Amino acid sequence: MSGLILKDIYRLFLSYRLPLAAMALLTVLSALMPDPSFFIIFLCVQGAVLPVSLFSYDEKDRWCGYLGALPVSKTQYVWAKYLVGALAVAVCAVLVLAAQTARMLVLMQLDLDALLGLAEFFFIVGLTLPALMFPFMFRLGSEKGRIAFILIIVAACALAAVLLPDGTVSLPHSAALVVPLAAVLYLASGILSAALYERRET
Amino acid sequence: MNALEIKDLQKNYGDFTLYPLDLVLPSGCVMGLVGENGAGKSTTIRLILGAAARDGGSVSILGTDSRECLPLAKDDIGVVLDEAGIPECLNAAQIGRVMRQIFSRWDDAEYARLTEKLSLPGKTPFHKLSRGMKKKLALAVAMSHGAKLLILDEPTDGLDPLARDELTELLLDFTRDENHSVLISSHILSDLEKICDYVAFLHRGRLLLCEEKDRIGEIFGVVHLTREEFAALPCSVAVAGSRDTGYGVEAVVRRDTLPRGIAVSPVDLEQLFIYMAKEENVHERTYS
Repeated sequence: MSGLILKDIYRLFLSYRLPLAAMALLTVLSALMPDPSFFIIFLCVQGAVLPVSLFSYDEKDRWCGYLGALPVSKTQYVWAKYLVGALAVAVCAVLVLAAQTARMLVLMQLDLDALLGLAEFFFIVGLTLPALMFPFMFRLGSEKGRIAFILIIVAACALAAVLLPDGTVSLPHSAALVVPLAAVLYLASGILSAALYERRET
Repeated sequence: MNALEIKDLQKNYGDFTLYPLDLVLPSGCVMGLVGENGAGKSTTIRLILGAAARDGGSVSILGTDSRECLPLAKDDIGVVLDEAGIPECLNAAQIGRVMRQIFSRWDDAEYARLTEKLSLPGKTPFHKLSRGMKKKLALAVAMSHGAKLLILDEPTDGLDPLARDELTELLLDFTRDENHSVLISSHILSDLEKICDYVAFLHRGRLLLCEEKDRIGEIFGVVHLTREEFAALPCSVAVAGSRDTGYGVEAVVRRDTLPRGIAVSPVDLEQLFIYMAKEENVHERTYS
């Protein structure tokens, strides 16, 4: 599986230079803006959907067909994408948290509760979104899966408008209880995606 | 031990059917899978590799049933697909690093030797390579992890004669080891004639023939007869295919079924395949 992950990391740094640079810029901007909510939500969603783009590239390059020639199972391939997805969200979370911590330190307003809430937000949204999208992607392919991707993003935005009416990223304390549920959902989604992809002819 | 044993392998895609297929590739041999585009060569290879689910039959790779040994057995198999499938953004060096993590017996030195021998640039991304270079790189990957069996789907398709010759040389080198076997699909029969021990003809999903290449010339031959002489041939003569040349009839026949006294000339693989495929088409039209 390490070879699959290495391949995805190469892909990210070779084909994704511009989006990665944009994400780095947005991270810096999130530390400079009085209300960084938009940047934070954008970075979280962007990190969560990176594996969708990687999967599209794999299909375009016919890497999915070439897997049949390698000593790698489809299940391993699926879990590699889930791992890359979790890593991408984690990296985005660490960068945003670092930027926000720096901002708070400069303003001398260090708020550990707010930072914890931000980490929970990344964990919940960053795992739930791909957990809902990936099974469609692995079952239908990236083209048709994109429709599910759009529907889920629209639903997530509508939900955010209801749950975060003032547009700021501040989760209630009870949100901590949802964190383990998001992790379980992500794992269950991985098992479902692996089963769906094993049945799909590539 | 047989490198590959296929029994009653079947697949139905709706618009294409692979009819029960039996093939045996003995260890140390090269088998050419010949057929026109859409004959079922790539389908057969995908079924062997488990990339498509078979509807029936069995596949045994290096002595073990494929359902038990895949995907791990692919450490022993080197594959080149018609569409290479290698990530377009990676260069040869990066591909080597990725494959080192994927194959348990990846040999960096062998990969370096092959990429140098084939004059493959180390830093050019895959998508910037010519079609021939892409095929060569895919072959270098397939031959750098100690594979005992190579499965090559149209490896010479679209290559210039020089590149085809280089690939042929590489395959001949590979098969000097008596434990190494190759299944190679192609519709360029001149390439196969140089390297194959066995030839299998596939046509519209049916296996028309599977025979040792050297025996084919002993079994089949070409006769040139007048229309009257051809019509007068006894029913016992096995005609693999025939065509009216305008001056008479040219037919590919089984030598052992011909009456004595008829001159027979040698048949080449291309001629045999074309005649057999055309005869099969006539049969299909007749019985449909």
